[in-house]
Amino acid sequence: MKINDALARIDAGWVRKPKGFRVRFDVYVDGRWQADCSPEENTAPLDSDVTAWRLAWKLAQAGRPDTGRFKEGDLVNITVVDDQGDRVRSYVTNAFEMYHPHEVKPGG
Amino acid sequence: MPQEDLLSKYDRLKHLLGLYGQDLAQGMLLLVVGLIALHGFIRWFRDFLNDRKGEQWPVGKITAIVYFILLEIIVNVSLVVMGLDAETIVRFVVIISLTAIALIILLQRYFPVLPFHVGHTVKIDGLFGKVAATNLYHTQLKTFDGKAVFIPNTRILKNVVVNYHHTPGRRIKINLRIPYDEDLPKAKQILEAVMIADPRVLTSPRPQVWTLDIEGGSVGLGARCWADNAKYWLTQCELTEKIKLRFDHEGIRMALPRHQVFLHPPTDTAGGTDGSGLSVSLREAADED
Repeated sequence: MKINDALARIDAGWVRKPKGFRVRFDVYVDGRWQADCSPEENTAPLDSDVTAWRLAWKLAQAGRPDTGRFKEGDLVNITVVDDQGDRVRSYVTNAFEMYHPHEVKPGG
Repeated sequence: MPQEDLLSKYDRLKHLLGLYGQDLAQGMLLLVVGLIALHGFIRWFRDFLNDRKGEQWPVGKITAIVYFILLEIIVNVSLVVMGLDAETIVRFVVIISLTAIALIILLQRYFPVLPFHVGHTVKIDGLFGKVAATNLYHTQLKTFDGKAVFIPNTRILKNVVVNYHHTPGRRIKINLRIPYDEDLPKAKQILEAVMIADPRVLTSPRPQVWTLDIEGGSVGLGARCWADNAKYWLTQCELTEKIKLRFDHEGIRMALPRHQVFLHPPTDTAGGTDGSGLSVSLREAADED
């Protein structure tokens, strides 16, 4: 195996380098939960997971929805995902964090 | 006699103004309006190009070329409106322009050139900031705490200038120390993994971790990676934060500066006592860069 092939194998299999990060959440609109993210899908993602987790934390702090009495614009299930939509571990806790977790039924 | 001469000159001037005055006024008006419009257009054009930073265009050069082309057109049209022969003007302008270009190409290497452009981050004579503007006499530097510093160009040409934009990327250097009994391979692995996982860290040259030294009961580690110039500072700060937190989670301690103090029991014949009955030797075990 050539050294370049070995390095390519290591890059692909050891530590994945995401192309960017987004904050994903469910937002309460017209009495229904809609999945959304920031920055939006058709825009460039954030290049820093630190910035993404700070954004997620601040969004969570900006609104503390009262479970059972949701109002327009409330955000739940706030987390950070990578460019492939997979959840990423928080750099602070090294765990898959989620702010304001709430069970959301599809289309509900 | 002189009074008659003066009157005849006045009559001739009046006659000429009657013949060409209107054309002259129109030409001058066109020139002034054209120059004002050109100034506004060039400002907009420069901002437009600057907004497309991702394209990496030579904004200054493109703007200068467009400026001189439009300036020539405006001057030519104004002169034609004033009544001059269009063909003669075009020939004259072409000859002047070609001569100027030839002289610039021939003599360019002998002109003193400032080693930066507007927007570059530089360090000049100990002053660190972003180049806000340059002209023939001085360079305006905006420091990162918001001050505007005007540096004479003569001083810049005589001093050492560090231009942080001359190369596309910069090396990030994070040095840290772990205790002697800590898991060295694991610490190196974490450092490398944190750097690789950051999207802003370039893949080439690859991130590296070095064992720098073993001194004073601790091991010095050096993490090195490269990032784009524009993202250098934030990437370094965030990598440092992530490494600290990741070490905390993995249970790897950082080495603390420490002193070792040895207390010896008092002896009657021992030398070097301090009068308190104890001899104390103090050894500094920490190594500070």
